[in-house]
Amino acid sequence: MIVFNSKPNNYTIPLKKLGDLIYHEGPILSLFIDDHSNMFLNKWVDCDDNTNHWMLSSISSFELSQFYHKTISLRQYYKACNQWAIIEIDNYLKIRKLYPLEHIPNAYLPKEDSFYSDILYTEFSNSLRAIYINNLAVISKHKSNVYDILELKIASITNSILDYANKSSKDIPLKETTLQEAAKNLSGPKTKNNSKDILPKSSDVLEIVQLFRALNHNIRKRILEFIGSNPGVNLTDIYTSLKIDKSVTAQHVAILRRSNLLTSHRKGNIVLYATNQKKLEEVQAAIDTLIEERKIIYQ
Amino acid sequence: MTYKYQDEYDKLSEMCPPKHFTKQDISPVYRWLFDEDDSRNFLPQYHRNPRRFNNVDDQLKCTSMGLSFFKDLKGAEERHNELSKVIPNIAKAIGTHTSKGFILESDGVSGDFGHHSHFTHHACETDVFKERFKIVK
Repeated sequence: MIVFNSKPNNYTIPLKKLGDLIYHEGPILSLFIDDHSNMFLNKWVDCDDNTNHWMLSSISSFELSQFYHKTISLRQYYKACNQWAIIEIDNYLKIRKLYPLEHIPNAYLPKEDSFYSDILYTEFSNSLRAIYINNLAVISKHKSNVYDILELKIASITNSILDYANKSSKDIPLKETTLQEAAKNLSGPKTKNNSKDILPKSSDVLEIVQLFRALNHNIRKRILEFIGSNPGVNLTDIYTSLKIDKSVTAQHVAILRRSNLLTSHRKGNIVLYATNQKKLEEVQAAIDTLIEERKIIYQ
Repeated sequence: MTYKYQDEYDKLSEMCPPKHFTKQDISPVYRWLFDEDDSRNFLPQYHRNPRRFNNVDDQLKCTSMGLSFFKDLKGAEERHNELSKVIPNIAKAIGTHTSKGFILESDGVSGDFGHHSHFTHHACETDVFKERFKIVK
């Protein structure tokens, strides 16, 4: 493993994990987001007997879109990237060491033909890609400075103050938003020149990603359609009518419930399901809004 | 059926192994290994040192306590190649050689075959695999 002069730290990265893009017996490439909706890739790059090295890099929605459209490879993204750091983290995103380097080591760069591949990337990634391919995401070139994230946190620890917290407090307070409102946020201003788009809050993105993930599955679509046509059915009705294994049905129903796409109520020992019409209407409205806003932006 | 890591499975909020995993005889199967007799060969990622994790949820923890296998050699090789394109060092984490062996119904439960014929297996005992799997490439 490459040995660097390390800069020891001990703090948790202030990022929220959106999901793994590549997973094999553990995360390999993951997507994170900060409180300001800046996105970051965290790629496993190396290990020895005691530690793992990861490369944390900032990625704009424009770059992610290019990658999902296969316009650039992952190597091209990293070669052009000037916002990255090599870090050692533990299992809970606590940074043990930070390596300030001028160039990404060659051994950590993906190969030339590292273009997007449906069969290598996860279901989460394929769902996210569908959002970008269908022009449902805001495209902006804005991205955050990785070292701002890392250094600000150091400052806040050593001084017990709160540069970072002060910045966060300027955010719009979190509140319940409808999906349609979230979609409006996602679409950004209705101008052609929207390079300084304000990105949506991470909670909006998370909710929309979660909803699209829930909807983007053939079995779940069938279950939703069936319950929509037969409100008040129970689990047995669903799996016998659709001829799906009981446990598989239960898992998919649980995902739909967690996404608030289904409502349920108990009658004795039996749980009865119906579709959440309000949420489905919100989803429909959100999609309509996104499509409409895109039309305006590209006109 | 009691699994090798049953105590840890019991602590997870998600059912582990997942309900749809089934007992199956599968032969041949392929798995990436390090050198013969390497202690990491049949150790799930979750139990290796260092663990390769970043804030996993219980569902992913469960997956990471399973072992990865492939139903066919071509799939195993293709996935290794695809992963190497993104992470040139990937062999250090997942293995340097391809081995061939078999899984019996009594060994544990296996999930569905996915892309590249990959599947996850939750074993009752992993020592049996050491004798059964021989490096072929």
